[in-house]
This record gives sequence, structure tokens and C-alpha cells, in this order.
Amino acid sequence: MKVLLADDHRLFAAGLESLLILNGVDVIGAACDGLDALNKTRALRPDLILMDIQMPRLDGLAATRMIKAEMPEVKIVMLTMSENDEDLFEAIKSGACGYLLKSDESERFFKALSGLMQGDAPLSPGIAGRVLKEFARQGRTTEPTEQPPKEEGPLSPRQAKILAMVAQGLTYKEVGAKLFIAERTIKYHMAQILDRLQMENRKQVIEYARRMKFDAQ
Amino acid sequence: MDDQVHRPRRVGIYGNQLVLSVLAASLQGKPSLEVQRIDDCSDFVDNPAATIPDVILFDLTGSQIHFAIQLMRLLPTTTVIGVDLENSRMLSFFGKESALFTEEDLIQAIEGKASAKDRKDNG
Repeated sequence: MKVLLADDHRLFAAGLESLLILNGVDVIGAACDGLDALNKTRALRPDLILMDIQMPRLDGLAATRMIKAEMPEVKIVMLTMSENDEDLFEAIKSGACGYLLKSDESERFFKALSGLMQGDAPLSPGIAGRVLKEFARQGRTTEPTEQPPKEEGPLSPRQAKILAMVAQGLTYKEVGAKLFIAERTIKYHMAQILDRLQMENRKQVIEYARRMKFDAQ
Repeated sequence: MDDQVHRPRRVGIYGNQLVLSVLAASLQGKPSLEVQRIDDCSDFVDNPAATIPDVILFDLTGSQIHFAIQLMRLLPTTTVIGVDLENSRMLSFFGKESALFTEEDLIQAIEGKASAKDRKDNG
């Protein structure tokens, strides 16, 4: 697993790189802020980014959103001092697949990283419970709306936009050009859309999009 | 005296937090430093032959300040440094023990001078 570090604290970043390498982790680079992380992700294509939150120029949350929009296959785990609920929930909504605290025990940190390779979500103790609590709270306070049938599942704003453009007749290449992302990323999103809507092929999903008036957006 | 000058500085890392492991990894390999993990500081009391570190690092954000004071009482010759990476700060505690018999002893300590008894004992 190729790992990119993104942390503006020079001492922590250098020490973390040494510690990870000592433990057999392939560290392919280190970024000093969110913008650097975005550029290095494009250049180096890591499997995983360990992303700090508070960084200059572009913070870790914004960088996570931009990276996930462009390269959704890259896993991002927040590694932060912040135990703030707002940061935690924003990180999850931005696409982070994990949230670890720098104050955690080292052993737990490495266990969480190796769990990631088995498909686990690396979350510091207590974090998972807070996320579930927030989902439950949101479930109680959300007003019922005219949503698509439950088995079809909601689409993210990005997915809805891509679907709308495809339903309008644009090719994947044209959609990618308009959104400044690679054609293969559009194909990835379309595969995700098919999965979420539980449709079998592009024709079905376009029919659905036109029925739901996505092409009018 | 020669030993003090030439030997590497012994740095003890007290705590299992990731921030401390990161600092330890950063300091490892520096020829002027000898880094060791410390699990329990009372080992230095129970084992008089144990090598006492010159400096001990601990995580200031996760510990009570009184821990540093306890450590200084236990190891008065060791500098205790609490690190706070969140705020990019560190707090150094120097344990300097001296006699306290008279008002003059106290004033001398406040003014940063040796107490009268210490001056007498040390010639």
C-alpha cells in the first residue's frame, strides 16, 4: 500500500514518515498543505493518504473533497489532534474512510492501518459511536421528502450531476472535459451509480435519469 | 565529567501515544542521542542501578501537570519536557533541589542563586 502523508507540522511529518518506514510502510511522499496534497496525489497516485485537518492554503477537509471528487479510488484517513464533532462529521461527509487521533496509542494506530487493508474503517476509540449517534440524530430530525424508492438509493451531488450530463447525451469523455476530471473517473462514477441504483446497464440508468428528470438539471 | 561531555544524551520517552512514537522515531539515529522507551518511572526507584535519563519527554496534552512534578521529585537531575504538538509548544521542567531553612534560602532561590547551606556544603 503506497502512502502519502499530508501534515503541515514539519517535526510530526518527518517523524511519522520515519516511524511508518520503520514499520514496513511504503511512504511515497509528504505534502505540507492541502493543495500540495492534491498535486502530489495527482502525480504519485497513492493508495492511502494520511491527512491532517488544520493546514494552510487548503485544509485537510477541503483537500479530501477535491481528491475524492477527482480520484475516488484513493483512500483518505484523517490523522489529527481534533476531537471536534464538526471536524469528524465533515470528514466523513467529505469522503474520508477513517478518522484517527494523534493522541491514540501507536499500537492501535498501526492496528487500524492494517485493518484498513482488510476493509475495516480505521476509527479511533469512541469515534464510531459518535458517528452512529449523529446518524441516528439526523434520522430523527429529517423531514420525509419525495425520495426515490429505498432500494434505488440516493446519489451524491457529484453523481447526480454526472448522471444528468450523461442523460443529456454527452459522452463520458465530454462529461470529463466539462468537469475537469478524467474519463476513467466518469466511468468509475457511473459504475457506482449503477450499483447504488441497482440497475444492470447504462440504458436502464439513463431511462431512470430521464424519468426522474435528471436531464433537466 | 568527561563522561558527561562525551556520552550521548539519554532521552526517555514516557507514554505510548502516537505523537511520542513519532518523536522517538525522529530522534532515533541521532548520534548525540540515546533514545529509550520508559514504561514505568518507578523502575528508577526500585532499581538503583537503572540508567537515569538526562531528559524525559511526555505528552503534555494527555497528562496532568502534577505528573511532571512527581517525575521531577523522583528524578531531580532529569529535565522533564512536556510536548504539545497541537499548539507547537513544549514546556520544560527543571527539578533543582536545594535546602530551605531560612528566609534567605527562599530569596536566594527566587533570585536564582544557591542557598546558604548549599554554598557551605559545596564549599
